[in-house]
Amino acid sequence: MIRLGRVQVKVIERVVATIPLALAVALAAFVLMRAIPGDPVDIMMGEGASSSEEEMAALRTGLGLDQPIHRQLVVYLKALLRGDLGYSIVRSRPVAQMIREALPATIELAMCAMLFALALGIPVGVVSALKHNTAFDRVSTAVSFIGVSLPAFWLGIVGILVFSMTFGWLPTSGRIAYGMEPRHITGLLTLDALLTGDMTALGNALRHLCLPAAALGLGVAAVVARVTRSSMLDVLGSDYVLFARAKGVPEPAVTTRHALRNAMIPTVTLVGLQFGSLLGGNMIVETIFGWPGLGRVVVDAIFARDYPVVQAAVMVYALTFVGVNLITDLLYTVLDPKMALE
Amino acid sequence: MGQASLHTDELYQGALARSADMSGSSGARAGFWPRLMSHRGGRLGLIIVLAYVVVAVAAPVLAPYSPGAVDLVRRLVPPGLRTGNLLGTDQLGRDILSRIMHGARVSILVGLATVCISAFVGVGLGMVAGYYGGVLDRALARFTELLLAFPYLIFVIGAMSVMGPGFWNLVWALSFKGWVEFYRLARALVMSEKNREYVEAARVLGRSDGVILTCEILPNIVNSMLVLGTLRMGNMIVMESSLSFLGLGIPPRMPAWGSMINDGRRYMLTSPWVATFPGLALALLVLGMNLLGEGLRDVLDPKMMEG
Amino acid sequence: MGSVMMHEVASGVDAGAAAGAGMLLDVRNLHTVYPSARGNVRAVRDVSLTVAPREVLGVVGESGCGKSALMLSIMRLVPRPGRIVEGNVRLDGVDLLELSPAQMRDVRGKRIAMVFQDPMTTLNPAHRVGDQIVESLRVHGMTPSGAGRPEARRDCLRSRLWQGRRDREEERDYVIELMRRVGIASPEHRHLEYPHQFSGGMQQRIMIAIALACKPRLLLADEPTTALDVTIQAQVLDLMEEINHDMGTAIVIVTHDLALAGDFCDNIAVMYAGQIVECGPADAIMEDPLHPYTRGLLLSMPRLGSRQPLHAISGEVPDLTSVGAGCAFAPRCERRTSRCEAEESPLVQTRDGRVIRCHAGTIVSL
Repeated sequence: MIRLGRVQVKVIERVVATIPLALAVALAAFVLMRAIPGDPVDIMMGEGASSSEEEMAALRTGLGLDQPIHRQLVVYLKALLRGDLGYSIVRSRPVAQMIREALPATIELAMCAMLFALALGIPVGVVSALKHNTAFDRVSTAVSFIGVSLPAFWLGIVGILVFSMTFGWLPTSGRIAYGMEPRHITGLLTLDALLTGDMTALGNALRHLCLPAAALGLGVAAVVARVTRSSMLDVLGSDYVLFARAKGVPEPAVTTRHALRNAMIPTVTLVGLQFGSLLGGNMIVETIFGWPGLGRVVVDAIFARDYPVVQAAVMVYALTFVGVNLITDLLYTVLDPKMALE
Repeated sequence: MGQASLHTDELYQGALARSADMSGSSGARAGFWPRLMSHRGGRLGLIIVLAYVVVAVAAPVLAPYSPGAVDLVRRLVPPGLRTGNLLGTDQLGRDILSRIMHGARVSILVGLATVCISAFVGVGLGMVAGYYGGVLDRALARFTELLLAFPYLIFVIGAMSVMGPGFWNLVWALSFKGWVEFYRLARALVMSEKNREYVEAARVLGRSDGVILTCEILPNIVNSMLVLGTLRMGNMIVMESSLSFLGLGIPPRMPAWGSMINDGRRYMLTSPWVATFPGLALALLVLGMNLLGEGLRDVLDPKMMEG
Repeated sequence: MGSVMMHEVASGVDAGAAAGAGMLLDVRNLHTVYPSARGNVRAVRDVSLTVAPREVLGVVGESGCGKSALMLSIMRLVPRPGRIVEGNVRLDGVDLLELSPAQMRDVRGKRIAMVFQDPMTTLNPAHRVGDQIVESLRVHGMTPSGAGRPEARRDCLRSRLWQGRRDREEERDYVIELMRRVGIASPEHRHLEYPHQFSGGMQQRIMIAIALACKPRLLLADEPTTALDVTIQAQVLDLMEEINHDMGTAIVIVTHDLALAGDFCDNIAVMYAGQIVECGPADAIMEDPLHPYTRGLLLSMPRLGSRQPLHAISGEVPDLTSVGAGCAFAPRCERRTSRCEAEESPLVQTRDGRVIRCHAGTIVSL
């Protein structure tokens, strides 16, 4: 009972500790927006703007840029608490709405990429360690080393060339064939298709997911495989694994119950960190595959000089990353009993 | 029962730690170069990286064409020996091999400049923070925590969206977050070194803190920094290419691998060489950097952990 | 009490099966090698020893002499690429080296249990100590009520489901009882804790509890007290002595501490460079060591009240990849002759029932 309480306290502490960080992230996004050299409105309108003074003044008022900076900050934070992320200049829509529409696509892609990376990386790493110094180990170590070095955007393009253009197996872009979208429940198309029992939509959505998720996840899979292999090797050589064998524990149970659980601790930490590179890579892979997610929104907004959108999206990305790290931290606490008490 | 050689079952792999104490005397420590050259991956990495550096430095001499020379008659020529364009031409008739060679200059320069600036700032701040602790250390801890909350590429994209494309803009944007890793490692190392006897001895001899940091501690952490720098360099180059690919990094008038790959996307079906070769050039350089980095780590700094 | 019987290499054939009769453990002519980059490390060379039921045997030697490799060979847990090349390990007359992997697994933990040096690294950090104790029972399909009686219950899923809860309660009670038995206070709470919540000495007690869960007849203890404070060492040794006494478990204790072995053991086997160089009753060896190496070990022990400077054995432990024809100890031996460098002495039995492997020692004692 007491022990359980301690874990709960730890969890609450950890959650509370992220609040100042989230606030700082919001502030940083605010500063980013104001750091634009010169008059942001001039830049937004484009060089040699043909727009009239009145239009520019209206935009300035609309963005609250005519107010002193501390007033702007207060207005910004208050709006943020209401979930108001500003107003897109180009699209003339609330940014929050744009992000809400785009976010599920990004989450779906990132999750699938991470699942792909774990589903590929962990078994390869574990088998490599179990078959240490065999041909399988050497080949998988070499391949994962190369995998770490391959940039995701190039993989995506080559993937399109091979699987879409040459063989025609997989679609080149989009999330799902036009008109096949399942009823909107969560916004994650695969999940929605499953929930509504629409198997054709599920298949189609999965086919669209294959290439982008693989392009995005392959690099992470390589890192996961490398870390899993080395931590598994450490653990397999540990005294407690030898002791488990000396107790007469059968080999499959030694591998799973004694070795794997401890070997997963570094991998879990890694997953949190790698999620950052997944979110970054997302932006590029979404551009290549025409994936209607947050990355596309950001890239489009940058070229359209739609700064409120860029500001809000960068913040959402960072907050997502902070959230994922929080979750991995908590997971870590569950996996490693020592952490719960330190 | 005798002579039959009995294999034990259920053998466990990995650590021969238990038998390590039977392996007796350790071999003599060879010098840095012999050890790096006898490290298979390190040697290969060094050869790859050196080859790229030579090509990049000598690009104006080596490249058969000017990287910007447009020849609209010879658009999208396939690779081949006969045509005079070994790796073909792009949609504007520019020679891809020449552009890759000049692109190597850009990539290596960005990587080098970013790593140097990051290392300079990061090691400096990290050493001071680790040595003195106090308010500065706590303030930097908060600040780095904030920087780390942003995924690297997102951060750089955000910064570039404000600053606009440009070589130095990119270097600054990358360095603005890149120093954090050097800072963290340097700080951690200084914290563990500063209580060692040799530092105590220097203090007793009346050396100033500045002298202790630069002459006593720095030489002891420089190896780790070199390893980190090499490993980060590959990363920086991928990030440069990613941004150039999006059109947010190196401006289009400079030949950069990322923008070449982006150009080639539209011709992927008909002329796949336009995007494929710059990608291969990038992947090979990054591979070389990673191999060299790991080799250096094994040779210089066996204690340092992965990741 | 236990008698130690050694088998002369030359007469290994006629020493025959009879010599091991009635013995719990009978290791004969065991050779284990670890291939390495510099050649084969011959960690165990021609080791023969026996352990009687209820006997306590000490295996003494410097680190790297092959003590641990010997223990792992008996358990058939020599880490790859190391392997047993030759010999027999008989437990109650059954050669363990001939068993199938599954049969061997059934021996481990149930009939021979093992305790390691460092409890901090030997207990699995991710599992509660209670679960780690129970695991020994479960893998051998035993119920707590009769740890000595193997149960076929694991074969019958239905009855297992049916009796699941009662079994679990029974198991928990057994774990608590076992933890109390090895001297852990308030086990009814502590069985739910994780290893890092215990002190080193308590962790070692838990490891002993795990080892004892199936009531094995033989306990192999590899430097069980080396990682502990001196006061805790004595407590753990007391506990092992109690177990030997009350439960009749035979113990082989590996240590580099000759004094500890002299106090604690019935018999002592001294190992050097992978071989047993002297073996016999503990009292006899402590009083009158015959082998120059044993003598050196004894003289290098600090003694209360003695003002003599401590003796140090000069030289280094030999490289086990390149043991030649002569006696492995010869380079460090004060009494070596040209014969020692040319050929290795066979194991010779002395009048008082000891066995030694030394030309000079043999001459003295005969």
